Amino acid sequence: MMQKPTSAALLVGSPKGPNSTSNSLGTFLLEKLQEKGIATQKTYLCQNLGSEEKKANLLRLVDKSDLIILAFPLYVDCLHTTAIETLELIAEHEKGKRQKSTKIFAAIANSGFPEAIHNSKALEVCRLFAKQVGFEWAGGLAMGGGGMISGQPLTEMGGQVRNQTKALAIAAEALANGEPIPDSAIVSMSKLGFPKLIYTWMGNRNWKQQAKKNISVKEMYNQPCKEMHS
Amino acid sequence: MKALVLNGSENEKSTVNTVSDYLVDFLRMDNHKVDVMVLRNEKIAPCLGCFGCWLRTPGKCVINDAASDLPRKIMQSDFVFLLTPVTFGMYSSQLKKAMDRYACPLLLPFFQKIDGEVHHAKRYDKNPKLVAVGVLPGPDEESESNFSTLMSRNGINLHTTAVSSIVYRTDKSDAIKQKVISTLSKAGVA
Repeated sequence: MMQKPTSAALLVGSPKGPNSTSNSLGTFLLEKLQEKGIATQKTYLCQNLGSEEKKANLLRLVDKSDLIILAFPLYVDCLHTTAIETLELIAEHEKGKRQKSTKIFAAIANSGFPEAIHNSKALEVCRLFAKQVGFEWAGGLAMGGGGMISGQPLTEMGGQVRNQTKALAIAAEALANGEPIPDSAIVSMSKLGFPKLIYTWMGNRNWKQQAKKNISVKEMYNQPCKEMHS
Repeated sequence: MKALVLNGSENEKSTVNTVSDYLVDFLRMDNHKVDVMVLRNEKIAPCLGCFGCWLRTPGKCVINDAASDLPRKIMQSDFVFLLTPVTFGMYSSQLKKAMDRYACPLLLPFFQKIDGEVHHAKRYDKNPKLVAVGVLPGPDEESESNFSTLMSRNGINLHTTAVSSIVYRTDKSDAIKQKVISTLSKAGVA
């Protein structure tokens, strides 16, 4: 049993900041924690690593929070570089402390692929980080199909994110009580709200529609480095 | 054969630099053409996640800095060596900032099923092999296992093969040399 947190910090690890799926998911969890009387704060890592002063502010936020939640998108099977830099920064900061912090660490990962399993190695990174710095690992939630959210508040998305809102509500209940995220939340988070085939079909169609604002569909297949390959 | 070495060392004293030196020596002795980028010395902005390399300038990143040329350098190479300290079972932020910038331009946005999982389709017919060497302070089964699987997953997503190995900071120079040679052999370079 972990200690019950009284304060929580959400670190949004997406380069898209407020317009990211990570923000949507993390904010929903934060709101649920607030309802349970936990003081919450949020920071966008892409805006808060640019100077020593900003880094110090970020570390102050971590220091004063009992529960740290990292919400991030999957980049090349792992965390985005700003999220990695943040973990490195926190680890270095914690190393310098005489007394280990008693903090709880949890993570929310999302991937543009429909399967949640793509996030598994990145969540293992989060677990190893917690272990190394001496934080209590409360577990990680992973979802596929993250592209469908893109910064929209989950409360306005209705049934298509019903599995994710259910998962985050269960996770909030557990975290507020100082308990690890239950398996039921992990399972629910990983479920796409509609068939995988429809997601991939719509995804491929959307890429073409978006590209057509600037270029032709044919140009999407350009190979600017082809002549270089030997 | 052409090789690109991406050195993701955290500082000048890193064992990653020793690995890089041995690796480059072996490759050059074997008459391979080698290009080395020490990433901590380069000004590389983090990927913006804007998808401009898919939707505006296909195959090219929209940011203009030291990483802009990475896709070209990679596609000119037969092997890409990724050298990094292993922290929490993954690569350093130094190496990852480069990876985040070159991965998407080498792929198409479109989804494709590979062995039952959805991935992005490849932009080019053939991508160079990935060879990763991670440096750990000492034996650490969990970190080694995650790093190795992470590299295999990178190989699947980038439509190529990826091999990885681990060097310990406590290894003597002969042991490091031996591990570099065995990694080259495993990758089919030497």
